[in-house]
Amino acid sequence: MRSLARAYDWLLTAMAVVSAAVIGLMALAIMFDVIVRNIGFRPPPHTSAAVEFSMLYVTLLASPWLLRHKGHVYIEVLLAHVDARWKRIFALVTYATCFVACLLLLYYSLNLTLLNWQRGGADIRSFDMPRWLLFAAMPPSFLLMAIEFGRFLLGYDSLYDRGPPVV
Amino acid sequence: MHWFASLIILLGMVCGLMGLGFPVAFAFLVTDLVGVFLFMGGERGITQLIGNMLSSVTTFTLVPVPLFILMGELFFHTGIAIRVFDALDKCLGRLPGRLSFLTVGGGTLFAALSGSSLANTAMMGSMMVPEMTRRGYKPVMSIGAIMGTGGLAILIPPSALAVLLASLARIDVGALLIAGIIPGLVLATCYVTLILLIVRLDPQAAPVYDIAQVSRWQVVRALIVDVAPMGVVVFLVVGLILLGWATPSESAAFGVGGVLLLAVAFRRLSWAAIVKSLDGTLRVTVMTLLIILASSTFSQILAFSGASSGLISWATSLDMPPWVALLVMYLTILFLGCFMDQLSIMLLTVPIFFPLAHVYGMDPIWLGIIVMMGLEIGLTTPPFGLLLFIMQGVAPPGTTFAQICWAAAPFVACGVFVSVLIMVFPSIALWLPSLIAAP
Repeated sequence: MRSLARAYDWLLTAMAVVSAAVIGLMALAIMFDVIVRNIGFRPPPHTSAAVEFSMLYVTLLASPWLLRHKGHVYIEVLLAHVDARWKRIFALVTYATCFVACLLLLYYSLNLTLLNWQRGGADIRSFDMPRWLLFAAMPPSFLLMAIEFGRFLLGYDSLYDRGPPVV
Repeated sequence: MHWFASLIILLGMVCGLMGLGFPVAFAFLVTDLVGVFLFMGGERGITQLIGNMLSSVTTFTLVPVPLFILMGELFFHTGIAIRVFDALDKCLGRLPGRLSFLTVGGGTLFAALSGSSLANTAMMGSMMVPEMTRRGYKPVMSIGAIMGTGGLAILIPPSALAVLLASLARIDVGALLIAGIIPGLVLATCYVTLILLIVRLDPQAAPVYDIAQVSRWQVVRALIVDVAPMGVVVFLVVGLILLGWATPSESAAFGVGGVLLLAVAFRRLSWAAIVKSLDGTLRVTVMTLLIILASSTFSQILAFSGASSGLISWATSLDMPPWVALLVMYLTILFLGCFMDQLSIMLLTVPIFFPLAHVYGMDPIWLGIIVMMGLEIGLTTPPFGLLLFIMQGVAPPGTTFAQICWAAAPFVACGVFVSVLIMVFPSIALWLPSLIAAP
């Protein structure tokens, strides 16, 4: 069980590392594109579309890791003025609602991924990106976020603790 | 359903969920899910929601957000920021209130090199507050000046928040970024004047102290070696947009390249600095983009339910003069700034304010700058001013939250004064962008 938990933690971290690397690569790719264009050569035609699609993958790949590290911003103004019992009730409502919302989005985004895979449509920009590949970024992200909210709901960790995540 | 009921349901739900402590992105996601069921045909609405989520972040307009943040993170983690600060420190001599002036000068330069108010304030706070306290500076001259100056990063490019505002309001990103320069500098000038005034009225607010003698040559050398090269980065970000040679996204990438080159030149680039910078960038970027992704459908549901058009028709039927409408929008932003973070305020107000401004014939860039001024002030207004919390973390032990708020008050007043100036004299914001448009 412990090794499964470690593997899961490693998976979230690996997804975040890929996202961080993609941000760095985006900067390099854009600079390369502009320099090549300005010295009179033809820049690679795919850069802008690749960067645009990368933004989606960066966001969705690293969101579960950020949730685990309690990095998604929330407003404390009401939480700061209620006692511990109400704080716990608010937290449970939050975890349960977000858990259900993530499962709903997992279900619908998975359906859309499969549907687009069968139909074979493409998002046409400077290169044709199969649409199912865009939708495919969503189900794993919402699944992992649902797991994170599930962990909060079962009391393994708290979204509102400032400390490092409990593995 | 009547537009007013739709408006109350949608705004009430998103605000209520945020109040319960939902992460902002999930407050919008849950409201979207309920909203599409109620107003956009149930399951078909969810398909639309997921499609919107995909298209909301796959846009080149938002690319400067991670890149401006990365630029600022590299600037701080490579230690270039401290070099610049030390160099400016040498230039001020035995001036009364020198550390406060150093804060405003250094903070304004940092604002031109980093896109994050929070990072600027945290760095200046941890660097300056202990020294200022040791020298007997009163809170208004130390923590007040730091919080005021920290907010400048919202206005002066590179500003990640300006990119988001332009993207949400569908206005020209480059024009909005450039439009923030003069208001930012006017605000910094106001801070300098305020510090001069306080030092004149109460010399004990910033006691004069002896400093090590620095020769004129050392000052010139520090300026040439440590400060002047920053001009390259400022040119790469602002100059390239102003000259029309690069889009904001492209200039942001060059800004990152510029900071990397400087770090190499100063022999400050290390793997540790790169890893820390990417980690910091990832946290802020993903948090921001997930909120954008989640809220992309919110403005559509507002429009689809008739809430936006109903509110706009109602507001225009009141026959308010445009300046009253502008004042109401500005005061709304200031009010929300007391309770919410800047991104949430933008997401709630932009879908209503900008169409309303269009009806009143207001310039969207001008309104954008006024909104950004309000957001900048909201960083330092209690009880939920993000900079107040950052300052509480670095203030000397025993400093109360109320003392921090009072220290920020004169700088908040400066912000309101400059906002009124921009309302009365729109050219403060619109002159520079008009130069880009000119052939």
